[in-house]
Amino acid sequence: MAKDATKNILLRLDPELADRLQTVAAVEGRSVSDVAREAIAALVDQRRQDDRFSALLEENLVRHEESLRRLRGDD
Amino acid sequence: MRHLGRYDVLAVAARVLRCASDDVVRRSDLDAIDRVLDDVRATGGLAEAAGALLAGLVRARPFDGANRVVAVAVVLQFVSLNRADLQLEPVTDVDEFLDRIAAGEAGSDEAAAFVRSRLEHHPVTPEDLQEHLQIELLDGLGDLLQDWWRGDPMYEQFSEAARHVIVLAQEEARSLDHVYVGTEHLLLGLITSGQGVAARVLADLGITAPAVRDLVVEIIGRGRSGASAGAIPFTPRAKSTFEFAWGEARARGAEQVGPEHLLLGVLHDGDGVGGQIITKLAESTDEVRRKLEKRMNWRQRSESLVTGMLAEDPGSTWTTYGRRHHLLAELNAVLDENERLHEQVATLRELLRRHHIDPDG
Repeated sequence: MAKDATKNILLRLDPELADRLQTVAAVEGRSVSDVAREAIAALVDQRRQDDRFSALLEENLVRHEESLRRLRGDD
Repeated sequence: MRHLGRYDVLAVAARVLRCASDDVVRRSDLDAIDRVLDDVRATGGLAEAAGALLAGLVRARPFDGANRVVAVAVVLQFVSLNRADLQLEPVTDVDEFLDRIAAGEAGSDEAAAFVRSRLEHHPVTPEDLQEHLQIELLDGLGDLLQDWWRGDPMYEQFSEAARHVIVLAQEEARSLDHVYVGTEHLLLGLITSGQGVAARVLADLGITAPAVRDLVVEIIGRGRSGASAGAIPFTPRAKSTFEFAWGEARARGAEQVGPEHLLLGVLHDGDGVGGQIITKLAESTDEVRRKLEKRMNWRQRSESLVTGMLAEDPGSTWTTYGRRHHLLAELNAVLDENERLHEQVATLRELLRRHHIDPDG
């Protein structure tokens, strides 16, 4: 994957949602990608704040910390 | 099965990469993640789904930096949401396998087998069921399942054979230490009853009890030993299956709910564990339904013929209700025998063909 700090995002959206994103982007004078990225980040934040989801994730990462640390990198 | 969504995957990635949510969005290939998740949803059991997830994320490399660690962490989160854990030791074996995926030498099937060999299922607890499967645990069902339908007009309409299926379903649930009876146990009850149109259709399609039990353990896991002592409640899906079966029986003019109507109910709820297992083992639930309905219609026509013949009999003093039922029972026995003989003939014809002998020659 390219390692650019910022890139356009490719997303499959239903037409209605794409229209709404375009409207927000036009009103705020930003790119659709930027608006979409912000909206997605807000939803990711929401998941990270879900107590049960994050507790389970922490539990997994602690339990497998040593194994994950020893996994080789991709390159 | 609980599937991960795009935001779940990104949340795991953000935590592993220790970056802010907007950073992870910027650094990830969202479309690639969506494609992998679509593939995962198209699979059946937990091992298959986890295998597709692992293979898809390692191959697509949607995470910029530490893709392999994030992919494994996502799979760990996925299996743990489904009450299981993945054994990562020895890590060298995992690395070696991930290398093969990255090199295109191993795909989703190999990944599923790899995951299956390392999957550890957590026991199912009542709390899990209430939280994850939203199953209401009912009180006051009494000690004997055989009595569970008393007082309910719907359940009074269940035939002896259908009741027997439900008793077998309870036994299957107990043998898996499950604290509830779901559509998966009803499916097992239908198979192990071994009689009637429903059992025959399932057997013809190769849907066997051992294969179904394996998938139940893979999807749900086993319960804690001894947890299923006492009354075992039905899940809301199982109860919906009963209601659907009752509706089907009435719509088809049947006097009682039979095992075949219960199977129609299980097939109707494609999202239930029983429906998922049928989809996994057979071509599709629609295909099973078509075959079942074909056999049901054929039998119904034969029964109607006998009923009509008796009704037309001028000396109708002997065509009493009891007599009619006796004749229909005899007819069913003949039809069963006829079906069995047809199956034997079909098997023999197939054997002859395999030995290059024309069965009609």
